[in-house]
Amino acid sequence: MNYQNLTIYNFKISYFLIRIFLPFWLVFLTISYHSVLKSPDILFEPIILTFLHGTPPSVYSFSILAICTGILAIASLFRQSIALNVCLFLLVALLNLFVYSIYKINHINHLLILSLFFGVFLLPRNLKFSDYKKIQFFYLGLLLTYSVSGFWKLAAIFLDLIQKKPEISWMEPGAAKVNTMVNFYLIDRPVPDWMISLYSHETIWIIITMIGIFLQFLSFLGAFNRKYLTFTMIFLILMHLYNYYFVLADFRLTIIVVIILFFPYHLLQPVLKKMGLEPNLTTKK
Amino acid sequence: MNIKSELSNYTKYLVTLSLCLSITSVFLSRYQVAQEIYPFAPWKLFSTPSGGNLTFESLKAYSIKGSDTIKISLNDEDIFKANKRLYAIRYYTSKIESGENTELYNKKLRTLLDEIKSDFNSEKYVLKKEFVHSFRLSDKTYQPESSIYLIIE
Repeated sequence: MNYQNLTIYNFKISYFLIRIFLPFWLVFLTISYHSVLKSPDILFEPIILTFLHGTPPSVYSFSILAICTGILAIASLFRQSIALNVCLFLLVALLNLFVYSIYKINHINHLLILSLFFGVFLLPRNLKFSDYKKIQFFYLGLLLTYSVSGFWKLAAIFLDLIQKKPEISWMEPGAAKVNTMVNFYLIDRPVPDWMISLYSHETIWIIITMIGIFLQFLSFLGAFNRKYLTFTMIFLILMHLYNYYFVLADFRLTIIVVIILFFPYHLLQPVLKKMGLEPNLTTKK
Repeated sequence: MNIKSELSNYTKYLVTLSLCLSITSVFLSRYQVAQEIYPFAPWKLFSTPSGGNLTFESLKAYSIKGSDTIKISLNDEDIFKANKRLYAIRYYTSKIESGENTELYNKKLRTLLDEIKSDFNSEKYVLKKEFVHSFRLSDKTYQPESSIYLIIE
């Protein structure tokens, strides 16, 4: 397969897998909502309710909404339509807002929601191989969220170099360590000894941090090169794992979404074909 | 070419729209017109390390029972839950500080702390404001300077 063909091929498989993943995600979300609601009522202040001046929906009505969303997700496997995609995107964004945006708007699940948003018009049955540029935009939109974050880190380092302020930038010794220490301290969590001893190699950490920031900034290039996209996928998984264990940012679900969206399925094509598992991906010439 | 496959050309506009909303969001929150309205491009997330400013202020809660003062730990196995407690304390204290419905938010803060401690027998709670030197945190004996910030009867 050439680049155009495999870009379309990979996107089509991810379209189906995201929709198979969604019902499981919705079950998890409903369970999370249940535990959020268990805390006393007055503590529950999703941002959305401060706008609407309403009361939070009961677990019962939340579940019904989640089940409807799940049905829409399954339906869109069999009947691909823009209207279904729009509903799916709005419902997922809304349900996510109730669970995660408490006290302040949170970035959790941004990749899942954005992939539904950017994919609204991309129906696998209508995609021709010559449409690969649309998929590139789809990838670009998703990867830019990482690139801009890397860009600001580089800009902050640059400013720090020319202004020589006493503040610590990411390039200075101990930056990664102090970041970890502070994030653990804020929630009164003891930092494990193995982590502190890992941080004792200061020069190595400067190199790791700088490589990490550059790769984060360069993520958007994955939209234009398949091999680099696979590399970016691995990098993003490692970055989210590091953030979970060392910075206490819980984006573990995003790892699954990163894999579903960016996995090089074309490498598995011969195996899938042999097993008769290859979905119906016939494409108009 | 039918209409539906024409529409797929609009993907690039969706991406552009998303970027524009992010930029607007950054400027609105920068000039404090509104909170972050569009959260999908975390522009300035961790642009410098936490604690990069060398010192920072942090609120820590204590429960008072007779003559005992016990520190309330926000830690939980579930990281999201622990972080949520931190956001909640910040959110309620900022409401109290701005003088908005002080009584209600005092009550909420008390319920929150009861919940974290899972013990409802405290006489009162004290929030202390700490002035922390980030780089001294790796010293296990380090005790940041603190002063009483709020007493919740």
